[in-house]
Amino acid sequence: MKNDSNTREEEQRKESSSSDWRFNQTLRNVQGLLKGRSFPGKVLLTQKSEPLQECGSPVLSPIMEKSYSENDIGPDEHVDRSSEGKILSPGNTINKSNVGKLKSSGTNSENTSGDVQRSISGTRSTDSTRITKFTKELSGPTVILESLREVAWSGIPPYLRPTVWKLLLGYAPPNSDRREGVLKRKRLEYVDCVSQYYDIPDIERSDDEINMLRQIAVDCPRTVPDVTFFQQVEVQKSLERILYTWAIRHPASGYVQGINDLVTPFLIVFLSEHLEGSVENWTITDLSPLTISNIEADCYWCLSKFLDGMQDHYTFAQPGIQRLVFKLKELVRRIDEPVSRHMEEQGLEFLQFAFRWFNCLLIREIPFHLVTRLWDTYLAEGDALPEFLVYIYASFLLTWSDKLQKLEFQEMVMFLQHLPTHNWTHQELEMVLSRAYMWHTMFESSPSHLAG
Amino acid sequence: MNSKTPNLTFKLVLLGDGRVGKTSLVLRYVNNVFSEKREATVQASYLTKRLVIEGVPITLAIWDTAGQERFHALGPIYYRDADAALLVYDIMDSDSFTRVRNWVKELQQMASKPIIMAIAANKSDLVRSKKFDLQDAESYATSIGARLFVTSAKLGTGIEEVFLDIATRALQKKKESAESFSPTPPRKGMLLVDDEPEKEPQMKCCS
Repeated sequence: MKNDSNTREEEQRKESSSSDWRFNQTLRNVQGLLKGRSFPGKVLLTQKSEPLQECGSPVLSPIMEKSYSENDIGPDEHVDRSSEGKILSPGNTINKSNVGKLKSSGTNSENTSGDVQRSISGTRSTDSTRITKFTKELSGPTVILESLREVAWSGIPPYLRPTVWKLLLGYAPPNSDRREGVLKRKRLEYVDCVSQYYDIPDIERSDDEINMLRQIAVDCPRTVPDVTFFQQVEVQKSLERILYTWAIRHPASGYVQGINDLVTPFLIVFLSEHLEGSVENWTITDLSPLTISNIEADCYWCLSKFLDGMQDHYTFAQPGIQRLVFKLKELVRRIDEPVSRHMEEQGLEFLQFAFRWFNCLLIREIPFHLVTRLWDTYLAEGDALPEFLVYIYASFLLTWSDKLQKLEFQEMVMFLQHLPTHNWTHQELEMVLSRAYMWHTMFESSPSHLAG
Repeated sequence: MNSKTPNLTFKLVLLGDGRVGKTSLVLRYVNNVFSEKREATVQASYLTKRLVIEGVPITLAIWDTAGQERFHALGPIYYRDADAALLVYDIMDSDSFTRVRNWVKELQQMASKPIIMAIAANKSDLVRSKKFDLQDAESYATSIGARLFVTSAKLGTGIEEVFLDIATRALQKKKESAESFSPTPPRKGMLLVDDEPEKEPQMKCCS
């Protein structure tokens, strides 16, 4: 008995400290954004070369580079000069309205403001502190996943991403002694699957399987078409093998359009360990067949693990997605009644725009170079991801709260299907995530908010 | 984008197998662009096109739906109250024509009212020999009261014609029903016509 209660207390303490941590992190971000200033820790901006560039450095790629430098340091006042004005001008009013909303929810922030002060001053020193944190989490004989999730939630340094993602997804085992062995076995298993399911003549496939393969073959060349890297035939072939093998092994859903998009972040991240420079200049044939095969296997397993938590998102009638879209609608109604009412009056159904968000997990809605950062948070959420998506997407939608209220049905649908995010940098994305986190914290503690 | 002028809006839904070129047809028609590499449509996307027929300004509100069957469970929210459907198939792929027939059946069963239909035999630019036969398709089209159009989104041929046909027939039908009934009640999510221009009855048909 005593033991029990001790453990429970301990757990509670752990929990609260972890949530404090995340909350502080978020508040730091939010505060930085609200002031329209950069986040603390700007120091590192000018020294990207070190220590990030060890490890044959994917950091060189602009995608990765931006991702890291901005997400840990905050809005980047040096790197992205040219776009700053553009972003801020349309964003200004929006940010202001956000400020109001965040302030009105201020009880939370008051409680923790002490901590926040501490964290801010603590973080000034610190990107290296942050890297140290990651290194510490990763260096032990057994990685504590919960702690890793906490650090990873706010963004993972690009050069650590391949390792951290595999751990977060439960693909690589936390125990470092076993890691290489397990990965090796899994990679072989994938190769077997491919030869068993994919590398066979059509005559051995059922009609359904032939149709599925045809569908996949048709979709691979039109996956993320604006990133030229994906136009390379070998990349498309890899994608095809991954998707087909996954689909065969998940007959309840099979292949659903949009899942092709979901492989791309894994491909980019795992390839980043092996290819240098900008993604646009990568050539996959520079790699040995073995390396390609290993990366493919990693993508396959990570995709599988990732989708395990969302199985009913892609089964008949996609009930998982329908449920989340419904929740999103409810949450938006709670948070922003005027927008919600306006959308309803205009006859706009959430399914008409948000379905795609959930189906493709926002890959089509934001610039591709921000996707991996978004996925850091997705993967850090783990099993809680589907519920948390609702908060992220509410936050995403309400970025345009003011604008939406001015639109009629036709313009509104078209606006929502082509959101003006092309100039987005990490700043906007961090804002979306931070706000999602805050709302989640608020609403989670009083579930009745969502009751009805 | 001034939508303040009251305008006659017809809701058009595009249906058809995956990769037959639905999105390309619409984008050619609405924006006059074409690209070989288009992401697969997930669920549906929405576009509008304004045009004037016989002096009447019209808006076509177009729902371009996904081809993959997995998304069809939600299909009815797109075609339920549609005025018209454009059924698209790949002229080189007879399976995709079978899908058109299936869609027609579903529309006839499920749609809340008789719906105007047209069929587009798309990708005519890929036809190398003159040997393809449209007879079956033509007679099928006639049997369901639709017209068949040979189109190429790539070359931009047949596109204006098919959409114009749909819009013209929708307008015609509207006029006819306006003569026999008082205005129908407003539908959700559509621009409403409260002052449709008074037209002299132009009885061209049924002679």
